[in-house]
Amino acid sequence: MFAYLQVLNPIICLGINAFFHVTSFRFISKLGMLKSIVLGFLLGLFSLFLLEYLIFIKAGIAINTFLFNLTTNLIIYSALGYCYFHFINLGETARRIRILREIHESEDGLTEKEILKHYNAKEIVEKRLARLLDNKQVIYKDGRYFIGKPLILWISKIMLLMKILIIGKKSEFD
Amino acid sequence: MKILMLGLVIFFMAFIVHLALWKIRIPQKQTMALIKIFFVIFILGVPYFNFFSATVSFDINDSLDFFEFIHLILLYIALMLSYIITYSGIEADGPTLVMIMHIFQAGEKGLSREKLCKKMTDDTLVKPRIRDLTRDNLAYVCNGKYRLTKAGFYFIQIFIIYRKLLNAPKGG
Repeated sequence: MFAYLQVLNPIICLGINAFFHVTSFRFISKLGMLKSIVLGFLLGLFSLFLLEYLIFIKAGIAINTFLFNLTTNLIIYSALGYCYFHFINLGETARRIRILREIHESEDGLTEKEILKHYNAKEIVEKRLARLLDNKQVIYKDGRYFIGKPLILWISKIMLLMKILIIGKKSEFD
Repeated sequence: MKILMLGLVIFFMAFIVHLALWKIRIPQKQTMALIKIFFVIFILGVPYFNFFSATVSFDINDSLDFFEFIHLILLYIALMLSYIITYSGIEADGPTLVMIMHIFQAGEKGLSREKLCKKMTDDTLVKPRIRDLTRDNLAYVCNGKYRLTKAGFYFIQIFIIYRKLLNAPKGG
């Protein structure tokens, strides 16, 4: 039984993560999407440590085996938690998902012009600017935009570096 | 320790193969190509390293048992999915990251809304993504109109259902 639990632990904790994310987002309006995702992740992480400790005590495994299993499951859970975060983010911000939804909701399909009437660059920029201003990643002063907190800027620079290293260009339009 | 080492080594090998192939030619359907590379390297890597570690230690019992094998699959899939999902941000220019870089490059002068909006147009933000949907077989064109393929229909259901569960509005 403990062998099954050892393997399934990260999956169980991902389920706990998703459960607490959905319930906290739905029922605690103050939280918002990002904070509820973090809360879900932390509760899942806590459950992971708890289950690993339970297995260690009950199964009587050696300490170094316990540590390696814990490390492996931590990596699996963190990777799955990262994927879950991106899955939620896709629903929240991905353009392709939104375009698919618009086509799905139409009765008999949409022309390119009709798609752009429903969803276009103006809406994309407005939504993202609002988010960036809200999180203070960007500040608006004297009619101009400036970098505020640098987190998203660091992520942008890392992504740019990865683009250069992996696909050999800075932009898909190069 | 075996699972952790084996999983990380095979993942790293798949990553190197992916980088090497991308230097020769970047495929059109990049995500599908990545999945195939990671899958093939796993199929080849596990028996190779399993056999190798068994022969080096001269102990057949050193090879993976059933639970270790499942654990290894889980570790590898988690790492693979994490990379592929990150890669989607490398493949396409994310609008938020592009906006941030434009504002950053404007430096101390800052960037006006007008200049920012000039750089972010339907031609760069929306039309390429529409084309991606037909390339990835999630949509097709019929009589000048975009419609969902079966794959596109089932794919979008996952997000519609989950957004309903969250009681969240349409994203984008």
